[in-house]
Amino acid sequence: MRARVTERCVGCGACLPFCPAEAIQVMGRAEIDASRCTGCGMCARYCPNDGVEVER
Amino acid sequence: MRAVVIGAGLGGLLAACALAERGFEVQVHERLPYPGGRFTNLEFKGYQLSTGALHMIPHGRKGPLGEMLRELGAEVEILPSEPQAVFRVGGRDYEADEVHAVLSAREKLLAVKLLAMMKLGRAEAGEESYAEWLAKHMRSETVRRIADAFTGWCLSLRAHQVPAREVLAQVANLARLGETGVPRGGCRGVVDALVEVLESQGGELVLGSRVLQVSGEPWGYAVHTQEGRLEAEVVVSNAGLRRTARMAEEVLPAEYAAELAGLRSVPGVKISVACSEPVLGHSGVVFTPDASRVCGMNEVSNADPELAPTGKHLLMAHAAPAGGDLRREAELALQDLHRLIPRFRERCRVLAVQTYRGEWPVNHAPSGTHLSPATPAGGLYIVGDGVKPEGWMETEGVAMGVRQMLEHLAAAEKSSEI
Repeated sequence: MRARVTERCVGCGACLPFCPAEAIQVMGRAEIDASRCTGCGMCARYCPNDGVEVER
Repeated sequence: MRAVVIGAGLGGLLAACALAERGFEVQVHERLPYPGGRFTNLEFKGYQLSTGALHMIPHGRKGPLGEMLRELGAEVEILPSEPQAVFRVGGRDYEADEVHAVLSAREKLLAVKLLAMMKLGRAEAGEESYAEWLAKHMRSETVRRIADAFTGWCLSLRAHQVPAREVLAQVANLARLGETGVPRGGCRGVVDALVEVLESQGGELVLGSRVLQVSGEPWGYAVHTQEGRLEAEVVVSNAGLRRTARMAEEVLPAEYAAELAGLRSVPGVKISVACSEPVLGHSGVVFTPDASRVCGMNEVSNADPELAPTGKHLLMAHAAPAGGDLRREAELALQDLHRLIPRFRERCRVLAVQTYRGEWPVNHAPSGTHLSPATPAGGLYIVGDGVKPEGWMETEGVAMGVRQMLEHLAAAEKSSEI
């Protein structure tokens, strides 16, 4: 289970503070470090743009 | 009468509080799990970053937003910036009234005269852009860059992208009101105060509730959410122009919906920087005409120390993109910061680079669009940064848009249209 950034991500960084694994970096778009991501889905929950999907 | 407000951004919350005060039964539906939209704080590593806006109220305590907050009884302390703003040219900071010092003797005289006319609201323009208007009066490259930094910071547009009349009206308002401030607690300080007012007036805020569609009924509107169906005589959309066009497709004339859908939102780049000591030393705006992308920056922790951990500082810089590749634009903006701030590597650490575009932009429509908050569908209104009246920038434009919406509503009520 992990999070995947979609085309809808604008890079606003609203997800940053909510990632308990500190797996997100943002530069024009969010990038999720797959080795750190636990798939908890917090980023998807707080994303204003439906820009993250959590794969199961 | 019942009112449904779609979206709990600054415009939605101001509108909701004002409607509740006027006796409406108000429900605000916000699709996100938090209120404030692009106008609230994001706490990150002990720093209060923001979801969008800068922690700033452009016209301070006496401006439209300051006045509206006071009228609504929202307890927000607005901390005035001193100085209001400076221009960093050639590594030195000049206040607005002194920046002509960097010009040649001949240009100096022209610039002083022109600025005085602008501040008094006596400068006139036709349909031309601000860049074209300036070029008619002065040929100075420095003046052009100063103009670009000013509009870039305030509107995320360069001088050639905004009508001269709009900028002239804004400068006159800025001069007349003469103050810029930082809300205590940042953007969230304002949002929390508004939510408190709303709830004390009996209004309801529903978080995590997505509105899917607005349809017409003989007595008003039905608002369809994922959870169910609401009924209201008045609907206020703070959901952005294109989303509003989609949601209310059934009740808006096709031509008008197409006009909304066709308006392009304004992108921007914001960089938040943690500083081990004050690097600007005040809470005013530092405009940066020498930089390639960054238009200005401010160190808001000088106004409210709680926006950063004890002893640390928070600086925010805004860049108006010159191209569509925001990653590239952000990289150029970062390079600017290294040049603009002495000993950047030693004293500063980049906390976040945030980009805004599409449906989460700096503004839903470029300044100068002047779309009315009243839609052709009676009782359906739009608030937020897509409907700023002439002469009002940033959050002041949002507050003035809400004021206009309330005037339209009062007129409609008087003529019994609602």
